[in-house]
Amino acid sequence: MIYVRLITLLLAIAAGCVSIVAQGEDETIKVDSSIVILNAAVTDASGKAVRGLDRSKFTILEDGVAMPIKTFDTEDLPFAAAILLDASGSMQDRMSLARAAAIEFLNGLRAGDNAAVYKFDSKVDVLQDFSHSRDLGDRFYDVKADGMTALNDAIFRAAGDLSNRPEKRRAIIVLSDGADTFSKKSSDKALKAAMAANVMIYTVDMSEKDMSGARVQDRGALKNFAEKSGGRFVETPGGAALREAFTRIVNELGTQYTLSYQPANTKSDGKWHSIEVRVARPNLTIRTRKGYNAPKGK
Amino acid sequence: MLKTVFHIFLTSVFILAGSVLVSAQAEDRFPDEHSRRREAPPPVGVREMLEKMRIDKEKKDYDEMLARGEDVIKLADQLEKSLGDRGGQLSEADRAKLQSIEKDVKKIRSELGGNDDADDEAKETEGPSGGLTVSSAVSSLKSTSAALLQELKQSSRFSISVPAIEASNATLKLARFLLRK
Repeated sequence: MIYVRLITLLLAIAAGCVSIVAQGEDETIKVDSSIVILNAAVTDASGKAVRGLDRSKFTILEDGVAMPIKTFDTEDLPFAAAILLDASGSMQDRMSLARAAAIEFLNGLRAGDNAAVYKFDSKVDVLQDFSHSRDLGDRFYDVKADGMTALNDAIFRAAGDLSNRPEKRRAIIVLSDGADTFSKKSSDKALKAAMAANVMIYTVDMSEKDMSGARVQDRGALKNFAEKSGGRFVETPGGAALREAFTRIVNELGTQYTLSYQPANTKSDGKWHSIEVRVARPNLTIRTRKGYNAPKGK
Repeated sequence: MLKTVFHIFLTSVFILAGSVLVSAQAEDRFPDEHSRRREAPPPVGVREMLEKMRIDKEKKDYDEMLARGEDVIKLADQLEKSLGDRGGQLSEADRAKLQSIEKDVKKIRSELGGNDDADDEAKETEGPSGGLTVSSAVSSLKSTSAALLQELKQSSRFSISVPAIEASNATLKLARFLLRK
């Protein structure tokens, strides 16, 4: 019995060391910091996207100081989206539902929009690279649920790929039933990568609705990604509601506002700068990323 | 005697206080369980069914809104023709059509989340603009109705359009202006 405990302890220490070493790797996503681009989703009290607002209605505050808006684009801009499909063992019973939802999303794309599909279990794989195709290849249908959940790695990878896309509007849509169990990257690193690439993260909770402590924690992780990046956390009872949620997300991405401004402080000090966008119309909610980290000078 | 009565009274008070305490503790013993039972979400099947009903209602409301927009255009078109036939005079039937337009557009605007603001009310009493004639108001009514329908068609049931609210406000002002003539 003592040997079993000792081996377990040693394995846990070894796993911890691997994780620390991996997190220590300083892979960062480089972005141009001379201009800050913001994608903002504006919704009314019922959660419907509000389109057709003009530039004069918006105010951008960085660290509490109003910044002049440099560019303003409305719904016509195309977007690039990465769908991350959780294929870990716990998703076994929900894979067909997740597939149906991903197809619903792809069907809603407009002519100029592009999407890629990734799957993640213990590792991250691209099932379909960025394209405007609505059809998915055999690899998508052959996905079997197995292994652990490398959620953070998947977000980090997709954020990196999105940062190389020409589209200003970028989103990650995560279909998962839980929090990370296997990643080399921390959730903080994944979130920072997404925010640096100006990516909004939409998380769709595919789990059974038990409210055990672990489940609440898992939901918290998914919620955190969505809230910090300006995306949305979607909780669905499945089926029709899930398809509806995906149609709503694709619609929201098509009706966002893209604003940019030049930061007053261009120091490469790696510091966090908070961002707030306000809209001068009552009863509207505006969602965008909460801020950005200035690049660190060498 | 007095001592006995006092003892009985004191014992009764103790018993009463004790029973109140026990009862309160019994209620408090399972507060989590009670609140859990109250907060427990309905089963997945029920929630799914409720969600489907909500989606169906949203689709129906959206289709009805588009149908109202189409009706407004038809009525504005009929008004223009009728005005041409009657040499610029509005008939009682035309007024009834204007009332229908007002009703339909108000309903559309309300579904879009719009309403009259203080400025609009103030301007309304003066009319949409000085020097507007009945025939030019009808012609403007037709074009704002067309703009409203176009905006409604560009939106979906997941979004609302600010230009649609503005077009519905402009249409309402013109209809009310004409009803005062």
